[in-house]
Amino acid sequence: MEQVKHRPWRRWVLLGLLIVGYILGGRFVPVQPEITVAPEKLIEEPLFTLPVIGDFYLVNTMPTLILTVILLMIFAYAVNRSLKKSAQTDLVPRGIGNATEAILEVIYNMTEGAAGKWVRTVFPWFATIMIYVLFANLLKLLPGFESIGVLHHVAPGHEGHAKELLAGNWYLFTAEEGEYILAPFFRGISVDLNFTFALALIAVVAVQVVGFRAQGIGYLSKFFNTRRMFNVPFFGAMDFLVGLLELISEISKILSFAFRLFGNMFAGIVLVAIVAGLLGKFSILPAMVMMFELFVGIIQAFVFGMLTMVFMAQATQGHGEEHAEH
Amino acid sequence: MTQSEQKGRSILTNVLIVIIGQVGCLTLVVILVSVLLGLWLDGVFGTKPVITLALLFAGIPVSVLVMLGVARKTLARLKENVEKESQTS
Repeated sequence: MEQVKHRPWRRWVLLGLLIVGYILGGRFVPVQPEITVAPEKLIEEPLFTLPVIGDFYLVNTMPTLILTVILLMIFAYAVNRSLKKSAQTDLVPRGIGNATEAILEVIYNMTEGAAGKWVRTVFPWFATIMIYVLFANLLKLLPGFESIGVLHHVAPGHEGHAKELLAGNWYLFTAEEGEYILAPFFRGISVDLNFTFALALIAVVAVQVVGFRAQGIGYLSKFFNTRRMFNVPFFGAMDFLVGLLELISEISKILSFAFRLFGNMFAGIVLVAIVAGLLGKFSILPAMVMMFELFVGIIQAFVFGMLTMVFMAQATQGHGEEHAEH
Repeated sequence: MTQSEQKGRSILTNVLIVIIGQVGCLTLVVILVSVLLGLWLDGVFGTKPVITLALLFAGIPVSVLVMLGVARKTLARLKENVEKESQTS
């Protein structure tokens, strides 16, 4: 049989891209962007004002939110079409339908292992949160995110950059000091504490809802444990205190969920900004950090979804039976 | 679901919480430590930003390896407990 000769062309493309990156890195000097914890305002005037809370601005994570939801809908439509097409042919899923089915099957089995008969209640939460956070984390790695936006005058006391005309009313930053900073059009939504807090609140409230559905009012005994209060007073009091600690730990779950995702993703954009700002000329180094960000983004999406699932699974497991047994 | 199955599942969920909680924070902790240590050393030796960047790049593979180490060690201990439990019951 004639041996098909594979020509390793990909490595030459990669080498070419590195050289082009080095040349472009020299011509368009990478500039250290302004790193802010809060998302930047795209328009100075507030969108609307609520009596107590105050002004609401159009911040640059909102376009990303809409973009993420649109991409999720396209993804869902593509998977659905792919599975429908394969159902009509030979029942063998291909392409995006096959890949998604494989991943969801792994997650479903994981959920079944931890949640047992409550898998049908817990699994949708796990998959939804994980896919949504995964899209949010990976979307922010696209080129053009956090690098194309609106120019603002720099606040006094902050470092700004000079600008040079590119074309029309499009400008480029130059390395010299100046009075402009950039508010990017798109900023990753997982780098916005509002998003991570909202998701954390939803997840923890959902855990309580699943707990009540599984154990009814008995779920409250996890927080207000008065079962042994009268026959074994000392241990009963200890149980009661442990119950109160459980209440505090539920609240701390919101903080841990929110700050874990936000912290990792914010550290990511700081990392990319520092490395690209200082070593942008050697485009392989920022590319390495972006690869690490890809890895952290996937891990954090999985961690957020998996922890939600495991807490829900734990909420379905009653504590009552074991005590009754002693 | 029998008593021992429920107990086994309860142990599994607690172990999963420990592993995932740790794994989720390790990348952040390792990167933060390497950046802060680098900034401090740069301040001491006046070599800004060389040491910071060097530790930053060293922190990336270290955080991945530490994460894998924690996950594998905890899973190995979990498997050991499950085997010990199945031998005794």
